[in-house]
Amino acid sequence: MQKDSELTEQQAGTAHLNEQDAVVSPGPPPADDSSMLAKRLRHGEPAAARELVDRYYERVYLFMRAVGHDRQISEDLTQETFLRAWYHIAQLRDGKALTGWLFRIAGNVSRLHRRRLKGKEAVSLESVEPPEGQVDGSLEAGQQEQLIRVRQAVERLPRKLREAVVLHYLEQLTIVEAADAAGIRVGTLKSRLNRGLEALRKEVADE
Amino acid sequence: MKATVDAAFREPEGVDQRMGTQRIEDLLEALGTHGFDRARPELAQEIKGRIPHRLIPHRTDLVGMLAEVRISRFAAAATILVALLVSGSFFGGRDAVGKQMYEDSKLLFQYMLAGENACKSRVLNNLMRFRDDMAAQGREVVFYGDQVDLNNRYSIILHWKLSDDRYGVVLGDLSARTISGDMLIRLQTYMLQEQAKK
Repeated sequence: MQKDSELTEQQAGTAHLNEQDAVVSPGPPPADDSSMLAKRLRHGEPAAARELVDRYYERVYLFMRAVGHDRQISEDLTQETFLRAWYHIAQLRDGKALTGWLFRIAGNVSRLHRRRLKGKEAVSLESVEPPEGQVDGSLEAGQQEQLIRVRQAVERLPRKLREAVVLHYLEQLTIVEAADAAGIRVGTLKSRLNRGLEALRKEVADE
Repeated sequence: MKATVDAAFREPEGVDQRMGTQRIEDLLEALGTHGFDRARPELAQEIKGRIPHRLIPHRTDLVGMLAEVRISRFAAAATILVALLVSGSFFGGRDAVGKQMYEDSKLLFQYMLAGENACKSRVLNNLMRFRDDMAAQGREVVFYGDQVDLNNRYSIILHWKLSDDRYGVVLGDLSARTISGDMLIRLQTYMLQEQAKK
C-alpha cells in the first residue's frame, strides 16, 4: 500500500530536480571520513561516539527545530536520537549511509514524540511569542522578515513535504541521503520536494 | 556564504516560475544557516555524558520484543530457547555475543525449571551493578531494594533523574522508561499503597 502511494507520488512529480542532485553533496564531511567513523563506531570506540556527537549534534538539533519542535523538546529529542543511535549501532552498515542512518533515527524519534503527544500537546511558548531573535540578528531587518516568512511557510507544510524540504535544503543532505533518511524512494523524495517548493513559492508570493 | 545569502534575498526579476523556485531554494538554504537558534554547546557535553561505557552492537532483544507482543512468559522463554539454539550454531559461543547468549540460556533454563524466584536474585544483582555504573558516572540512582515485586509492572526498581521533571525508571517488568515527576510520584504512591495492603 505504501509503495503504491509512493509510486503515485513519484508520478505526480514535475521532475525539475535532475540526477545531478543525487551526487552533489554541499554540506557533510567527505565519504572516506564518514566511512572511517562508521567503522570505528561499529567497533565500539567511545571516542568515535564522541566524534559523532561533535559532528552531528547541531544538525540534529536544527532538524528538530525545523520540523517544528520547540527548543526544550528539540534538545531532548536530539539526546534521544543519539541514545537510539548507540542502541542501534549494529544497523549501521557503512560510512556512505552514516548521515542518512542518523537522520532516519532523528525522523523516527520526532514522529514517535508527536504520536505520543497526539491530542495533548500544549501550545508552546514560542508559538505565542514574537519570532524576534530567532533568526540571525546580523541580517538586515528586511532579510530577517523574509526568513521568518519562509520559516512560517515551511512550518505550515504537510509533515511529509516539510520533512523532505528540511532534509534536503536546510540540512543539505543529498537526494539519496535524504530519501534514505526519510525511508522513501528517491523518486518519491523528488516529488515531495517539487510539491513542497511549489507550495512555498505560492505562499511566499501571495504574502 | 555572504554572497549566497545576499542572492537569496534579491527580488526575482520577472515572474518566471523557475526563477521563483530558485529563489525559494536560496531562501531555504539561508534559512538553514540563519533561520534558527543554534544548539547550546553544553548540549554536546550532556549527550557525551550519556555515552554508554560499553558501546557494543546491540543484539536482538528477544525478551523485550516478546514482552512487547504480550505473549506468556513460558511461551516467550520457549521461543527464546529455540532462537538461541539456532543462533548458537552461528556464534558458537566464541565471542562476547555468544557468551552473553550462553548466559541468557542458562538463566532461562533456571527460570523454566525452578520458577522465577531462582532468577530474582540474579536480576537484582545485575540491576545493582547497573546502579553502580550509573553512580560511577556521577548520577544519583535510587534503588528501591530487593523487596520490589518483580511481577508488578508498575513497581519501580530503580529511578534516576534525567533533567528537570524527567526521570528514567526501571519497572517491575524490567522495562526502562522515561517518565515525568508527576508520574514518578503516582507510581511511588501506588507502591506504598500496595505495600500497606500486604
